[in-house]
Amino acid sequence: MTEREVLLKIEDLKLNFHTYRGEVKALNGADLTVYRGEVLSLVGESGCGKSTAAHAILGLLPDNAYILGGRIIFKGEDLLKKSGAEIREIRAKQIAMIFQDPMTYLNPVLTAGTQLREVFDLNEDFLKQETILSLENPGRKPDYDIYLTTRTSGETAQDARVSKGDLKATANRLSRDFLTLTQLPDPERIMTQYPHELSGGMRQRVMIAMALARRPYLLIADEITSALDVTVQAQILQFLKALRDKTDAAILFITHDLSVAAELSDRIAVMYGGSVVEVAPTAELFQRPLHPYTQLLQKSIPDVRKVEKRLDSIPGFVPDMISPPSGCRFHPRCPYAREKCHLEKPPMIEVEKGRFVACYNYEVQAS
Amino acid sequence: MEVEKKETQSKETIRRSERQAFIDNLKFSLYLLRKNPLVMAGILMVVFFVVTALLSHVLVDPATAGVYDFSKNYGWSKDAWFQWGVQARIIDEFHVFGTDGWGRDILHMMILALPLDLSIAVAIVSGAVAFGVCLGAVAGFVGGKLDEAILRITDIFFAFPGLVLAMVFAAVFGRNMVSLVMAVLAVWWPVYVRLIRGQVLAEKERAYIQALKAAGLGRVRILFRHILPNTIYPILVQATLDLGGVILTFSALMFLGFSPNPAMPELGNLASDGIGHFFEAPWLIVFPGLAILTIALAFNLLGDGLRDVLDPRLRR
Repeated sequence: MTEREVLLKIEDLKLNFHTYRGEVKALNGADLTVYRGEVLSLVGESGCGKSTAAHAILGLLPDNAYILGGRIIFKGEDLLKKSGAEIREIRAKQIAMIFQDPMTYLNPVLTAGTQLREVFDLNEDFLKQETILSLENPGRKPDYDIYLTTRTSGETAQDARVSKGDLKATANRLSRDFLTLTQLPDPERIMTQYPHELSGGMRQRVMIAMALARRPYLLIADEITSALDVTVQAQILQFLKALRDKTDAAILFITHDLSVAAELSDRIAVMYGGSVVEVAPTAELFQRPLHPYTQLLQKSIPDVRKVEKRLDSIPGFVPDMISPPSGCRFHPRCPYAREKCHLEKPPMIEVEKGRFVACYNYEVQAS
Repeated sequence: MEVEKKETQSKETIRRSERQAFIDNLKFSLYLLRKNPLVMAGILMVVFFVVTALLSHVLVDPATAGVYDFSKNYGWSKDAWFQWGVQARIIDEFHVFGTDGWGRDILHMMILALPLDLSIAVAIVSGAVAFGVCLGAVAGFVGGKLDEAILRITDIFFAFPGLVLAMVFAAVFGRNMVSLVMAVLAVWWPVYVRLIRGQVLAEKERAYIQALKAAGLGRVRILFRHILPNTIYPILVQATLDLGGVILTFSALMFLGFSPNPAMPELGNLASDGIGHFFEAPWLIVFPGLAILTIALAFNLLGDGLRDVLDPRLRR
């Protein structure tokens, strides 16, 4: 395996939510690396900090969140140190996020087309460049290679003078092309419709089109299939799978569903209690899970080929994040817990190449 | 060649379908309005008043209607004062609403008053909405100390009865149309501040605002392009209702004697002409008063139905 370019690196991110009941220690030293062009799934149960981590990347945390330490390095720069304008620029052009519930994440009083076109208002370089290209050669076919992979800075296009009408026409054409890309039938009609006139799956596709139109380096998909029914979910997954090969954007796929993650991702990161406990390539994680939590998690996935009376479940409860267990947060539920696990949080160690685990059971092997 | 032809054809069909969609949309709006007969009545009345106002100078020639030249100052001569009561009656020819003390036809004067009253109402309400909405939206969106400051200033204006405060302003700034309009405007904007602030506060917590932030939109753009269109419907309804209210208030100021010119055809001014002659010449005060009432009623009825039509979330 060749050394790949690191796109995003979260280092030891610690984050608290200040609430009336006390400090919610949502992230407890989370580490995560996303390489360029890969699909990384972040799995974990509800409240383990998956979404919080994603929101922290984009600086979308609520007012009561306090970052206590750590760094989020995107393309060599610390996102936590960026100013408001800089982070807005990054949100507009480099990192896109698709949210969980397509019902509420679109503006109800603007048509889908208006909302899509707005993306290009913020990405003027791309729009200008496309306008020039289409003026030079009218009747241009949508070129998805350019849409999804090439990211010219657009500096050449910056000074070009293009009429407003041309820009508008291009924005329209691009919106239509991106809707076509997400396999929506009759994109022209959908562009004139309001969100409430679209179905859940259609809305989610519009959201995906809006995210892709930004031509991001990193696409964060936050539980995007959870609010959809199973058939639509399958369609969206199918589409994302096809997209994975077309685009060179990295996808951070956040889900609580291991099987969905298995379907899509190159690597899987498992989170528990506010930190990442295991990172492994997808196949290896399923063949040989290292962390006890992952092992137990896998046992609790039903297998249609076996007749089982009762599904295995992980003993104990989800940790209380206001007063979490000391040391390794999984130790109260862990069958292999030792005394050391009560005292200190295990560091992330690389057991084999590309396989990371945070558990004292593997200390000996590593050294 | 083939492809190009196909392309133009498909463009043509798109254009046609867009036009069709627009017509359908309009028809649906009309249907929504027709469902409520009161709203329909309000619309008809408003249309009637607006059309009459637009045609006023065709219907009545201001030169022959006995309208005085406003640029001149009119004094009250001893003779005029003496003749007042004598002439205030229906004389030789028939006038539907009678005539006033100068022999002017009340109906004609009311028709001439309509454009003035309506345009003043629109000016005051749009000014108040623009000012109030900007202030309130910023207060709700930014929050914190700025919110607090804007709200306290609004409270100060709320503390006084509107008409009394308007009278104070009118008295301080002098007796001309601009200062009268400013006086009513000055007491009218706080309503919109409160209304829009509440709306914006609720709207900015909605999920799609977070999606917009994640899309890299600036705060100004989020507020004015996304939050305002979502919150403006109650404001539009309130503004339509207020068109009637503003005419009432403005006429009241005129009625109370803040008129810059006693001969000016303005409904409140016309009514105030008859204030001392209620028993011998009731038409002087009754008909202009009824006109004010009807206009206010018309805008109230219209405002009620407007929301159902405008808000894309309610019209399904």
